[in-house]
Amino acid sequence: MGHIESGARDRNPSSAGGSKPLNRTTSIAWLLLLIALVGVPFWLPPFDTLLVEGMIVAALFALATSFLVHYAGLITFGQAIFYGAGAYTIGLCTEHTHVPFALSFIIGPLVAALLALIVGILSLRARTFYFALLTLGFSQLFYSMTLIFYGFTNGDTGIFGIPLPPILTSYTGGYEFVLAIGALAALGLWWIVHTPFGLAMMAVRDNRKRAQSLGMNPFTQMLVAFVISGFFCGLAGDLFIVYQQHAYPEMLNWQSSGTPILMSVLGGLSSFAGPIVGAGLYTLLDVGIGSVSTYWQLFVALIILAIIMVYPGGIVRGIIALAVRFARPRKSSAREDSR
Amino acid sequence: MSTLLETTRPMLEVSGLTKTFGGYTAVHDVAITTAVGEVRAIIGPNGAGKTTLFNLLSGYLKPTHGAIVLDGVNIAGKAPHRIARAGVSRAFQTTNIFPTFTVLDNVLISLFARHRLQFHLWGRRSRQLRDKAENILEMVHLQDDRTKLASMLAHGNQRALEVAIALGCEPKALLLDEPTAGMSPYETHDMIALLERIVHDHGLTVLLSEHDMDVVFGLADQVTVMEAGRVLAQGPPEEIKHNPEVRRAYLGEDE
Repeated sequence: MGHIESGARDRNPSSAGGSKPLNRTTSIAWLLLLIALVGVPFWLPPFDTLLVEGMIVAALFALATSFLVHYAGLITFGQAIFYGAGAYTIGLCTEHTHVPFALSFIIGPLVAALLALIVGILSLRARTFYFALLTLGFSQLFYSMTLIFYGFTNGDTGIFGIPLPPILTSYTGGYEFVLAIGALAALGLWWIVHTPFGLAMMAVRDNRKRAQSLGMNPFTQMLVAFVISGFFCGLAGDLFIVYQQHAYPEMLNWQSSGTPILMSVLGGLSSFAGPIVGAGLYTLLDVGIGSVSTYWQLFVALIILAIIMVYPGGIVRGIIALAVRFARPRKSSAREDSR
Repeated sequence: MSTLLETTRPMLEVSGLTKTFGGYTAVHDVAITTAVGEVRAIIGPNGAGKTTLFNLLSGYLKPTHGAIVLDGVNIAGKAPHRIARAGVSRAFQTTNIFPTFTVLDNVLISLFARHRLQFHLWGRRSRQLRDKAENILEMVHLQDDRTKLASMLAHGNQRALEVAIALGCEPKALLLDEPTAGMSPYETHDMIALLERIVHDHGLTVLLSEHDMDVVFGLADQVTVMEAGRVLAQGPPEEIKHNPEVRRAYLGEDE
């Protein structure tokens, strides 16, 4: 059972020696979660459906960020650039062009990936702390640009009331679309982690010098990881438009970059489910406490601090530890029964 | 064996290789020619420039002067990953593995890199490469540990894995920087047996730096003695053993 803690990577059949079969409990849990999520608009009122929709958007943003933070080992405070780029691409397309929504939805993540390429080339020259600072600087740069180019971006009001295609305007339609894209994107990120590219990325993370001695170019490897993360952050920004129909400057500032990292740490970086669970809980705290107290940020901060102090590895690891503790007595009695 | 080697082509030709750090010359005008299939030991006291030489050969340092020609291609001053792609593979003096990977994945990543798959978003389960990785693990006797995390291995086994990773690159020339450093006598014995196996069964061209004279005289076809950044003497082990200059400088002159 101890192996569960060593992360999602060790639990799937295609990786880590390939000997461990996909944990049955884990795959059933994922399936049940997906079924429950598909059913949300049918058993929850519209307000709560929207809340879960927000969680899914946040979860994809958190996953795309943790892809970089955990699997590539790059601490970044610039992922909001790409999140904002996805949202603003759709917003600016509807504001200034006749590009249909479907097309701008596809262009969004591509624009984000292109920006990630440029920011990546400029930032990845530096390492660790200096890299993080550079991404933070770029985040503020793009944030300022949304304010400065007032005529083009509507400044701090942003672009709101972005029209959606009819099928996405209903609660159910919009929600199921966000869920479908979000789930596919999560699957895509999971897949990438388990490809030769994913292993090479983790090799550079673990031992840059050794990876280079095997013929890998660490810079290029990290740059591709950065672009992939940027693409999926852009997709999360796209989904935010389906959810809120509003692109605004605060999406791009460094606080916005910090949120998905906080969500990931809350849920636990070491497992694939961590950022998803963390995003869900953070959104719940945000909305739940925000509606009863004006000082909600204080309470959210206190609760997050408490959780991280009790479960330094994140909630998912805490839940697994609890599950193991509860499962043990039952397991031993089952063994006795079979004898 | 050396008579045979004289007729074969050189695999690694180092000439006029010099590296200075400020005013200090760590490696001075070194010339070494290693033939295909030859095992050459580089020996010398601490500070003789062995590790600097290895860093030059694998690209972690850029030479001040000189040429390094691998199989007809000058690789001097290229980036480490380019030199690795050209066919120089290195096992490091300190254990240099991927600790969070399983033992099998440590070798698999080497094979992925060798076959330029590091950007592929498919083929993680390639049967062919997996079999190859298992073969390499069998070669170093780590096949039973393949699902273990590399960080969980004993020191001696981590060094064996280090060699397995280097073998995964299917190198033209293998650089072994003190493969028995920090090992217990028992582990050293295992490592020598392992090196003998891979070297003589696979006809690899090997450059080996080593302190342990048993390892040197047991494995090497040719020996290069370095002192203070210069080549003091070169030749077959027997000749080196009886070279008076070498005895005085390095092996001890108490006879």
